[in-house]
Amino acid sequence: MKQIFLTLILFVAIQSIVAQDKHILIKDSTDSKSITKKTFDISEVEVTAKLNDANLKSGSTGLTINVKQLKELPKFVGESDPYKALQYMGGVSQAGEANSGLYVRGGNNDQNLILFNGSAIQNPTHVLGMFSVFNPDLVGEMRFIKSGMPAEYGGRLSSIVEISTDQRIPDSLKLNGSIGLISSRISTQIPINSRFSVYGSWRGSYISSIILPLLAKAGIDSLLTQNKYEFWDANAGFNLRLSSKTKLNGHFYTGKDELGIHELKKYEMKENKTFWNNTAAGLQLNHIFNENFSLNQQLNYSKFHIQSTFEWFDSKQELQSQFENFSYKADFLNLTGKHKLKYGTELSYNAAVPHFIRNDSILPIEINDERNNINSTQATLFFRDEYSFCKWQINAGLRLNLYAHIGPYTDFDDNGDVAYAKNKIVKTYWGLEPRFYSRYLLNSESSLKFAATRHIQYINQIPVFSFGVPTDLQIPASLYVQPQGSWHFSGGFFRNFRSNTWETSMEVYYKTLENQLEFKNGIEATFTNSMFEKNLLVGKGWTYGAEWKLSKNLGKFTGWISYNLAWSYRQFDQINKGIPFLARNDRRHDISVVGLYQLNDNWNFSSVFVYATGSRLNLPVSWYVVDNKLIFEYGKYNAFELPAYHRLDISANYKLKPKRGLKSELNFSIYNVYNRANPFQVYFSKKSFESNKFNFHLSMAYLLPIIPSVSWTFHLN
Amino acid sequence: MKKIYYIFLLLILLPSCRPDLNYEIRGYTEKIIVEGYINNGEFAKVYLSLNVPLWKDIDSVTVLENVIRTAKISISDGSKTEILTGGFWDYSHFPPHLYKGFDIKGVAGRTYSLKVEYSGYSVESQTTIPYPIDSLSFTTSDLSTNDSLQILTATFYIDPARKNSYRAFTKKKKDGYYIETPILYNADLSLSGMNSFNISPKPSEKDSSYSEGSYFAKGDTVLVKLCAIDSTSTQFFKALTLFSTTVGVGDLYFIGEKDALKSNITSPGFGIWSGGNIQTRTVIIQ
Repeated sequence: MKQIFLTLILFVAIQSIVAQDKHILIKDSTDSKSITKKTFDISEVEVTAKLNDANLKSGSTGLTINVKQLKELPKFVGESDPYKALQYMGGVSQAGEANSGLYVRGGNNDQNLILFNGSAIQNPTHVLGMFSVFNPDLVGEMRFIKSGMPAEYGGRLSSIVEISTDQRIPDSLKLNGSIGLISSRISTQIPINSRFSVYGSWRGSYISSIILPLLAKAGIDSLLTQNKYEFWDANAGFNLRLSSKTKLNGHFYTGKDELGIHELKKYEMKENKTFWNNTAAGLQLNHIFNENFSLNQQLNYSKFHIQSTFEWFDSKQELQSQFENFSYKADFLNLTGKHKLKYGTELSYNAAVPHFIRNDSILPIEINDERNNINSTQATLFFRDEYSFCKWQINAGLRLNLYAHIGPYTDFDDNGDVAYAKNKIVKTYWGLEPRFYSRYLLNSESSLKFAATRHIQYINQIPVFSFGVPTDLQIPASLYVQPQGSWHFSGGFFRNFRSNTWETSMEVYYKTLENQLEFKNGIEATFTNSMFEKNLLVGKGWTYGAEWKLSKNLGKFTGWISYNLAWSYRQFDQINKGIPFLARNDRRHDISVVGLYQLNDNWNFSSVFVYATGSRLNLPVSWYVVDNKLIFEYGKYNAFELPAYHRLDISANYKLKPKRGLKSELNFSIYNVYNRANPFQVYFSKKSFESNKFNFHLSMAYLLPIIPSVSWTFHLN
Repeated sequence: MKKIYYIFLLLILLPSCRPDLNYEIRGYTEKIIVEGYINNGEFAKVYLSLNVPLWKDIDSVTVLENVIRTAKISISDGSKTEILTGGFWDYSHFPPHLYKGFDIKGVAGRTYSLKVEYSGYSVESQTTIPYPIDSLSFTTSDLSTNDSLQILTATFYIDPARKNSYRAFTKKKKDGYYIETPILYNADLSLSGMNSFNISPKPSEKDSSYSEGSYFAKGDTVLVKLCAIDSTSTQFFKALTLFSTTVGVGDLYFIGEKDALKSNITSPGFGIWSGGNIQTRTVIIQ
């Protein structure tokens, strides 16, 4: 009886964060996705549940993340972050200190399509990569696809992270919030009537205004405390049920980070200030024609903008990079017998300013004349069929892309410039992406899966730095930049034990990467506005590995252990003399151990331990002095391995007694319990540089020591 | 419960585990670093040292310990050969140990070969001294943000067939020595005809003219040295000066991370043997 009760609780709790309050999931029947699931109609209210053998039977639509569980994991300075917790899932490498980047199966961070209610988010991080931009109170559902990507998704090589807000009409006003050490947040959902609700949220930091002055008073390093850092983000949206079969949702997100590094004054960079912001907005219209046929339409906009301004000697410098995307997507879902057909189209327009420089100096950096702007359009048709028969499930599909780089654009050439007028096609690329996924049930407790998929990516983000400030330049496919491509093959064996209490899996994969890009000379490309499209190095890559996962889903104690064994290579003709080298994000071993323990109704505990082989780094092998300049000579590319990354976090949640409808809990977390100094950056520190005398030291920076935190989270409804 | 408390306390008090970098795994090989110049009307100058593995201290003392003082250096203009003499000290250069010629003077248009023999190794190179810069003139213009400072511009004729690029050095009275403009003009060897370039020295914090930045004070008398170099030297100095233009973080140069400096010295040597045609003018800033 107890087992049944626990199973029931799990079924319900696993659905979404809001479900925790209601212990029942009220699923809007107009959600076109819902007709793919087993549902029970009870007077327009549906109760759905995740099958707890989903890991055996799941289709290629990926893994639905248990957001509630991830929110219970240890918090960093009081902020929970389900997005960052994806790093604990199998197949995702630890990004490293202060980095929320996702490195999926050896791929690069820019190879993940991160969708927030359908809008693509270009840079999903706050605070130098410590947090994601997603307000945890608003994250209703997360889906993560790392292999067997179905044909309705495209545009990135490695993975899809789909994050949705709760799109149901609440029956009463809800208020959620949290007060933490460096930031606080609040969100609300307001039902206007039974068909219409609105929501909004705000999150803001008080690092420079409160925390750093307090640290300065406490005598902490003045260099640190004179830095400036703040971030904020806001969400707003509505859910409108136009009829019993039609639903309209709208969302708007904007957020900003501002950074000023005092120490740069030493390098003549005065008054330096960097800010970046994401904006996303969208409308989703769902309509169900009948129980077997529905249409989902999305109109989306997203924008990422980064700007750095500083004074260098007497001149003001301004660097900018920007990417804007407008898109429309329509997908039909058609259920016919054992077939689930999905087909539709995607249209998009991208406006990229990969690199903009403005300065008032006489240095020979030319004033930008918009030569670097790259506009493009893309049209995609997709079709896939998920067919289930006997013990098999097959998902086969195809994406057909037509991508065009359009004017205005000038190809500056020594033999004569070639100018393209506005909207004139500069270059077109066709792309065909076949997708295949199959699953075979060996018995009720085990299954085999295999996937072979082709992916094409037209938008590149090329990193200038490998951490911190998101200085990646947004460079779409264009006259001189070919789209990236990838073939991904993967297979796995899945086995559950003891009525699905225990889940195990083993997966292997091999992935190719084509048209990978690097700047010829790293950072210096940031300071020149010559046609950088012509100054890129083009190479290829391949990654392979195996992933094991053991999960316990039921009982007071739940959690999982995942282990990745992986290799990630790159090869560029002009780097390392053409010899293949290990990618920067290559981590041979990567282990995550996650445990959650429900002691009683009031207390629960959780802990996370991660271990990952050190990432690769390119360091010099020797140095010498020529022309009065200290010069470093590099050897084999990325031949250096940073020390291993590992840390343990623990957390305790205590539910306080509800008062007048206000439910709240206290969270006590300790990040990096045993104070492991994980490498953040390797740099050369200057001891002195007088005339004909110098003294440098190669140093390693460690960023985050042991950090205890406490936060108070509340829910009112 | 008490036990748990002590374990918890112990965990927190554990000293931070700070891993160190292990440089020894890197593939260091010893190289003879050559820095040699032969300019029109001047004798050859060569500075020699060994490259230093990264795990050794990066400081002036280490450089001096790795200076090569006992090499045999010979240069030839095709008809005559000269062995350079070591043991001189050039305090305007670091490291200061200098090998100097006393017989062969640089002549425009001639090619000079270099041979360095040291510790059983022999490295060689060749360079050509460019022809003089044609139609050189200087002008000044107002700096909009500061009335007392001027922009100095050099104008001269570039013959693309010569494949020369140009380095600039300026000496203000208050500094007492030449300061480099960290820009290699015509680095892509693509310009032709009359061209103008702004002379933009980058004084360091210790220099007297630091506050003037890349500009020149009215009334100053400035010695301007323009040096034409050949195409192989251009490849070497292009990366060196471009990077210093752009970052200049504490005079630290991360050259060759992806694309190494293009040395014209044979293996196991590295560095540059560069022929230059220097023209020096005195400019009064008005």
